[in-house]
This record gives sequence, C-alpha cells and structure tokens, in this order.
Amino acid sequence: MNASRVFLSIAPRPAPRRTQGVVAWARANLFSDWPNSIATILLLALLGWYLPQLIDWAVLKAIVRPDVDACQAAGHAGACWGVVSEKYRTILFGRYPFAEQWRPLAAVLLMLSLVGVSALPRMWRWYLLPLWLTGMAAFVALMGGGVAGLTPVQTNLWGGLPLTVLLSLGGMTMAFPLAILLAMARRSHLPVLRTLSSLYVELIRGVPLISVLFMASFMLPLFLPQGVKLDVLIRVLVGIGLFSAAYIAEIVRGGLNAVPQAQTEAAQSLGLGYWKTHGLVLLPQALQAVLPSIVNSFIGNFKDCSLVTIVSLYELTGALSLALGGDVVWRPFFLEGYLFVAFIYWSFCFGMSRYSMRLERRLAHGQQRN
Amino acid sequence: MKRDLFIQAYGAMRHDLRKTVLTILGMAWGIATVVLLLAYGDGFGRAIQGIFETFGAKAVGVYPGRTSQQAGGNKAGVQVRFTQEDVELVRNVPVLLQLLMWYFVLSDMLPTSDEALSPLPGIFLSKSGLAFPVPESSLAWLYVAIGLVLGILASVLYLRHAGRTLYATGRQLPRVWPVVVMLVVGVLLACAFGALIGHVPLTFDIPEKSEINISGGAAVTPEFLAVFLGLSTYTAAFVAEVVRAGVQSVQHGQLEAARSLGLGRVQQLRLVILPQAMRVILPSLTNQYLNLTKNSSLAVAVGYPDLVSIANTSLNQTGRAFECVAIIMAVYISLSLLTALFMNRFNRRAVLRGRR
Repeated sequence: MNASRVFLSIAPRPAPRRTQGVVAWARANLFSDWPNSIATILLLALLGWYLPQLIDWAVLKAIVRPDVDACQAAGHAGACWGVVSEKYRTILFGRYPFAEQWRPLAAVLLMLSLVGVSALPRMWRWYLLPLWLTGMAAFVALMGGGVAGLTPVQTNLWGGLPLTVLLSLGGMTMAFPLAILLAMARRSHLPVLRTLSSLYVELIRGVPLISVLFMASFMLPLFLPQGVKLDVLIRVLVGIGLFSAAYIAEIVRGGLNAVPQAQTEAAQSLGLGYWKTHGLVLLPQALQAVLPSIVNSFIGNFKDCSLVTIVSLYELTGALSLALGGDVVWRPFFLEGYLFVAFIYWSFCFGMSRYSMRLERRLAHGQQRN
Repeated sequence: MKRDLFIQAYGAMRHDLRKTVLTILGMAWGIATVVLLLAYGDGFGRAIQGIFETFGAKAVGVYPGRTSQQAGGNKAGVQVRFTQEDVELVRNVPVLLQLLMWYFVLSDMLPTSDEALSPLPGIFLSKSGLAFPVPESSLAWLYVAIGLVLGILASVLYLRHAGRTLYATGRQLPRVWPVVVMLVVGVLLACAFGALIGHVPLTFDIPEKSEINISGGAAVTPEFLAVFLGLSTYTAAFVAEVVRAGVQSVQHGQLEAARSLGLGRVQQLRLVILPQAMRVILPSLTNQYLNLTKNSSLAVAVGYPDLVSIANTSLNQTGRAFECVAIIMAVYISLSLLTALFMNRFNRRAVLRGRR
C-alpha cells in the first residue's frame, strides 16, 4: 500500500464551556442574548447610579435626632428620620392619652403573641377559640379601661397600630364564621338560601370597601331603632367583617368544591347528618386546602383597614396625617413619615406572606405520595 | 329636595365619566405593559419599563426600584431578582398609603410652576400638575385620520397576503416593519395631499412657562397624576405576578417543542406559550381589573373629585345618606359587572381556542 498516506491527528477539540462558576452563571443568566445583555447592563448602570444616591439619602446624610433646624439645614438632601423619632408615639397610638400609652402597646403585643401562637399548626386545637375570646376581651379591657383600676378611654381616642390590629383581627374573626355559613348556603340545595347567599356575595364583591364603610358610618344609624346608639368603631368593624366575609366565603366555597364527592357519600353512609358531615368531614379538609388563600385575604384585609381613615378613624395611616398634617414645622418631612408607616405595613404583610408560603409547603407534604 | 339630589347625582355621573376614563387609562397601561412584555420576552421590554418607571424615583431620589410587569421569569438573573423584591415592596403596602405618598411627592416636593421641571421640551412638571402639548383642532387632523385608516387597510390586506403565502409556500414574509412603513407612509401621503389642496399644516398647542404660571397646552392635576401613577403601579405589581404565574404554568416541553419546530422567539410566545398561558391568566386578570375599578374609589383620599367624593359632598349637603351611598354602589356594581362581562367573553374565546 502506499506509505505516503500520513496519519494526521485531528486538532484537539476545545474544552467544553464551563457550566459552573460565576462567569458561566452570568453568561447563562445575564448575557444569554443581546436583549438580555442590554437589559442587564442598563439595569446595572441604573443601579450604580441610584443605589449610592439612595444610601446617601437614607443613611449617610440622614438626620436621626428630632432636630428640626438640622433637618431644615440639610434640605431634602438627607432623610430626616428625626420626624419619626419625634412623632412615633402619635403615629403608633394616635390620640390615645400620652401617659396611658403603655396600654395600647401591651394590647398590641398581646394580640401579636396570640397571632404568633395560633400560627403554629401544633396549636390548632379546640382551645384556640376560648383563647381568642379571652384575648379579645383583654384587648378591649386594656384599651377601653374602666376595669382593674384603669382609667376609661373613649373609643374615639383609640388610634394607630392598635386600631389597625383590632380592625383587621376583629373583622376577620367576625367574617370567618359568617363566611363558612355563606359558603355552605351557596352550595345548598335550597333555592332561596342559595340565591340569597349568591346575591349577597356578588353584591358585596362588586362594590368598593369605601362604600361599605360609608354605609356603616352614615346609613347604619338610620336602620337602628330610636335610642340605640352604636359606637362608630363597632359599626365600622361590622362593616369590615361583612365585607371580608363575602371574599372568604368564595375561598371556602372553592375549598368545599375541591373535596371529592366520595367524602360526602362516605360521611352520609356512616349516618352523619348535614351539620356533622360538614363539621367533621368536609370543612376540615376544605379549610386546610385553602388556608394559604385565607392568609392572603387576611393580608388584603390588613391593608384595606387603612381605608377607615376616610371615615375619620385614625388608624396607622390616619394617625400619621394626624401627627404631621397640622404641624407646620414637621410637615415638609411627610415623606419620611410615609416611608416609616409603609415599612410597618410592609414588615407585617411580608411576614404573613412568607408564613403563607411556608404553610403551603407544609400542607403539600400531606398530599405527596411516594 | 329630590330634584336637587338627581341633579347632584347627574353631576356625579358626569364626573364619573372622567373617572371611567381614568380607569380605562389604568387598564390600558396595564394591558400595554403586558403586551410589550409578552412581545419582547424578558430582557428588552423589562429594560424599557425600568427606565420608564424609575423616572418617578428620579424625581424623588428614593428607591432605585421598578414595579413593572414581569413575566417570562424563567431566567434567574439580576433583573428578576430585583423586580421580585420591588413587586413585594409594592404589594405589601396599602394602596391608600401609596396614593397619599404619590400625592405628597407630586404636590409638595415638586418645584413651583415658575421653576417647573421640563424633562422634554414642551412638557412641564410642577406642583400644579403636568402640562403637555395637545393637537390643536384643525381640519388637518382629518387627513391624519384618513391616512391612518388607509394604512390600516393596506396592512390588513398585506397581512392576509403574507398569511396566504405562508400556507401556500411555507415562506415567511416579514410582518412588523412593512406594517409600520405602511402606516407612516399612509399618514405622510394623506398629509401631503392635505397640504397640496391648501389646508393648514398640523399644529400643536404647546404649553409655555411664564413668571406667573404655565399657559397653553393641556394639563392634568397632581391629584389625577397621583391616582393614575399610584393605581397603575399597584395594579401592575399584582398583574405582574398573575402573568408570571400564567407563563410559568405552561409546561416547559411546550417551549422546547416550539423551538424544535423552528419557531422564532416572538412566534414561540405568540403561537404556543401565550394561548396556553392566557387560560390561566385571564380569570385572575379579571379579578385584578375588578379590584382596580374598585380601588379607583380611593381617589377620594387625595382629593380627586371622583364619584365617591362628589357623592360624599352631596351627602353632607342634603343629608340623604341612603340615596348617595346607593348611587355609589349602583355605579360600581354596574362598572364591575361590565368589566366582568367583557373579560368573561374574552376568557371564553381563550378557553375555546385551547380545546378545539
């Protein structure tokens, strides 16, 4: 054979691209194609431009001392957190008597620890109900006074964070049983019950909360018998409860619909009646399935409580306007106040949404089959 | 007494027309961002929106955040992470507080009208609102309209032709730029024709700044701006999550299949991902728009003369609580029902297309 055929080795292939490490990650995620690269570069540029400004404004040049002159001297170049350190008690507790403000603080802490306790799944037992009733009673006693040597404080002086907590928790406590009844009624075979419940839910879901609050504060007194006077706080609380009941009812109905039909049949063949079928078989499964959605609607409810400002109840948002609106000296630093209140709302809601995500994962464990 | 009330209610309705326009604008903003986003996939659209929305932050120097729609969040890049935090930031703060904040920034922190900011020539931003140029009414606009109609007609014909060519030969004709060219050429031709037969050229009423105030053009109040910006960023944060969930709900295999068929990026989205994602997106989107409609009632908090605020005034003047609250409720229920009707119809089409 001819020996002139020389065996040439092929040039070695280049090593495969790295798929791990910072550079590879950046290439895959940040610079995968040109639009993506442009977006990344633009965003990094924007960030490089704004982040130092933000830090400069919020931290470096900020004035924390409650000193108006220093704040005005700084202009708006630095945040004036002094407005918060000066006014935080009015923002948090509204017009509550200054000397007694440990009471709303204690009441809020009590409620928060109650919420914390009930967030643990191992505490979901029958005694949660009496615990809540006692807690609510203690809250009202602490805030209102008149018992155990506490000076009475009128409800029109309640404000700030305790009011937000009361309205959201109280509204929810009221809404929950009503929502379950509404959901059951909407699934019922009795046409009158079904129609009424659907009508109620659709009607309430079709109108904004503000109009319900207006109704509670202006219209409800017209329907009450002569001589009966309900406190505006209670009226608004009832309004919020009725409003969120419609929303939760739909969530619960979704949960009930998700329970397989066979569960009902099994319960009936065991001889359980309507109420026992629901109470022992359907509702436990339905509620567990929709718990994350209920937490979500609770977050919405918590935020919606800010609307009571419009009917002149000074909860967190309203208390801020109360604290700064009439004060010529501090008024220019409203923005810092808003940011402070926004941060309070944010931390509550963020905590709740994280909790709901954890709950979702935890509940999903029971559904997994190996 | 009764008659006064009806007159007041009529006034409220007429004002509500403005608010309906506001709601529709908010929706249009939401829809436009969704469309933009879906059209461009992730990177580019996001960057544009980012610039668009940080303009608010620039005026304040507060946070370098973007609160726009984010879908297609399959890539865990810098963009996605930042925006998720921003979305959380916006979602977790009550909309009322956000409106008040916007209003404070727009009415207290902006310069007075004699030192108005002018980000673009002819546009002034100050404590007294945003002034911008408007077209002056003249016959010439008729020609622009005619040109647009002609351009649209030509585009429709062209697109049908492109479709037929695709089915007959499998060859793809370009779709986007010819349509743009046709529209522009149509308008230009019509205007040229208008100028030829002696009608005045197009004119704009451009606002001008003087020592005392800003005159000319059209202006919107800071109240309107606060409500508009506040509601649209708040709703956008929620819509963003809805769209993200929808796009993520489409199985990854669908994208791979589309890619292996040789579809381009836009086509993958338009023909494969979007129709399936829409089924998931639409019901929640309907909810979000219903919420938007209802949230627009919060305009009362910043003093925008919307239905609620006018009804409130008439309530205080007449003392007729029942009628006024009933009017508010009736208007909102009908708005909600209309939105639901419209969206459900849209939804039905999306669902049917999927099952056929």
